[in-house]
Amino acid sequence: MSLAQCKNLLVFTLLVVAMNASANESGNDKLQLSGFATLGAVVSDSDHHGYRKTVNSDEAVYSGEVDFKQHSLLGLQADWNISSDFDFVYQGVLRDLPEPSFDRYTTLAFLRYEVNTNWSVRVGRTAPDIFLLTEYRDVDFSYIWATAPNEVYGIIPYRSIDGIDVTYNKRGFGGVFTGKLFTGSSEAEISASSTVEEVKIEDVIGISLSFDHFNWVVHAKHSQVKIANEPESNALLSSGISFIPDFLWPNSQAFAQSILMKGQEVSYSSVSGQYQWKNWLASAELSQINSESEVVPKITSGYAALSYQINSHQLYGIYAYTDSRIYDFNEPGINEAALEEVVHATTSLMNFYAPNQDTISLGWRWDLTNNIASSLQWNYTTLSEGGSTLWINKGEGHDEAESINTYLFTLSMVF
Amino acid sequence: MKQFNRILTITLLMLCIASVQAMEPLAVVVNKANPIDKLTRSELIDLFMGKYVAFPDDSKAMPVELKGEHDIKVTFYRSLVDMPLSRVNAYWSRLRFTGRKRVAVFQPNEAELIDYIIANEQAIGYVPQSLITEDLKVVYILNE
Repeated sequence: MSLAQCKNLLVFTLLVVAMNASANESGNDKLQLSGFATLGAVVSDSDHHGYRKTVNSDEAVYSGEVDFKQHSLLGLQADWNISSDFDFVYQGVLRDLPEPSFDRYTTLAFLRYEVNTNWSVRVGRTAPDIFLLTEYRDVDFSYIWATAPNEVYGIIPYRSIDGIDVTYNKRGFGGVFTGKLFTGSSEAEISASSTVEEVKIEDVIGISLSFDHFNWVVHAKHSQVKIANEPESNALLSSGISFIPDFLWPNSQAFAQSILMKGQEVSYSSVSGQYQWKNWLASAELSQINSESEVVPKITSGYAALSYQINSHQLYGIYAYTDSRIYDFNEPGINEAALEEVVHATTSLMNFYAPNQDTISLGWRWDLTNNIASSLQWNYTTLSEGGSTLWINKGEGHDEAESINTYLFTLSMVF
Repeated sequence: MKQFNRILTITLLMLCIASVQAMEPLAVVVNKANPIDKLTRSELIDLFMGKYVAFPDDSKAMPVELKGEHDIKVTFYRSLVDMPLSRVNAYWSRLRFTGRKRVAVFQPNEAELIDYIIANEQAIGYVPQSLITEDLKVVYILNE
């Protein structure tokens, strides 16, 4: 553990101890402390493609290794009921991060005003309501699987949004309708084998709709964001290409401009549903990422899952996929022999956000107590050539198709 | 031998009492001043599962829960939504740790839960039917 991580851990611990002392002192129901934790172990069998939970991580799990960092985390939360209309929530999640800081560990910090039964407003840091599970994918106890399907969730690096949201709730048609509008900004890290890029988004505008009929629920979500900074890799390559003379790369200036991301819009859409029938639970989600940027292709992803409960045990299966265009360098009139390095760098950049894979998962969750569960999951992933965005690629230039077995074991709890 | 028979009788009696308690209907109660006289099962599910935390007249409700793993809590959720407490906890962890819903008020035992409901007009909770007093209004009976 680095010095910075130790410092953050100390600050975090002191904060929680202080809150705990305050809660005990007040001895009433105004301040509540709670938390969640996961101890997760991962084994994977690829020598080239290293497994990781999301694209945040700059480390990965290769054949012959047992990893405890990808899925293990500790979340602590304080809920302060200020009055019947106002409350404040703080949540910090300690986990392995490429650029650890107190800011990155803080996942929730908002003030809520409940205008009335139907309307509420939250100001501050909230969880991103982009896809079905993006708000609670780190709370492993809350869902059956060992982890949220990588094909849909692995590409989303953001853990929070700083801004404001307004929620409307209404009972009707035998269920409850919820609509939410949110706006704000966010930042996170995206890692590849040798780079960690900070990505900032601003002007986030999103809508989230759901209808909950207890044993079935449907959601529709759409949000759009503007990329607020220029990733270093894009800036460097763009600058390099712009200096290439026309006889080697005709119109290189225009291409150099097209790979810059700052100011480009990206949109996220998702529809999902869940149906519970006796001991069966079926769920499915379809999502799409669209972008103005040449570097971020259209990404279509989805999953379908089925689980069956036998007392405190749940057996489940998931099929998940993600599909995007794979870039093959074919810019016209270019002397590829003379620009081999640049062509390679361009191809890598253009495929940086282009996952192509599908996974079949089988798993078993066992509720050991009312607050602790274990999950064992086997993933069989078929990775297409050039589509390894969700993995860390160890072998330089090795981005070939591969089938990979990954085994996950998690012990998750809430307290 | 006589002592063994006595212990056996007492043990069986205690088991019977425990069994009767487990089967005792649970009353969902509110403050006496609350204008609501009854709730439907669906309204109760919305309220205790954090879907729509309000009374039928759209006034705010404040669910009060027992801290920890009390038997009546297990029975209540089994009767209301046919879920074991582990699944109810998993469901609530989604609402709590996303900050979507305000958390319920927790009380350590039935006596303090009743006191809290008597003192707060918006409060709603559940207790064994035998603990109902004149200061509480029953709006739903489970396990009847």
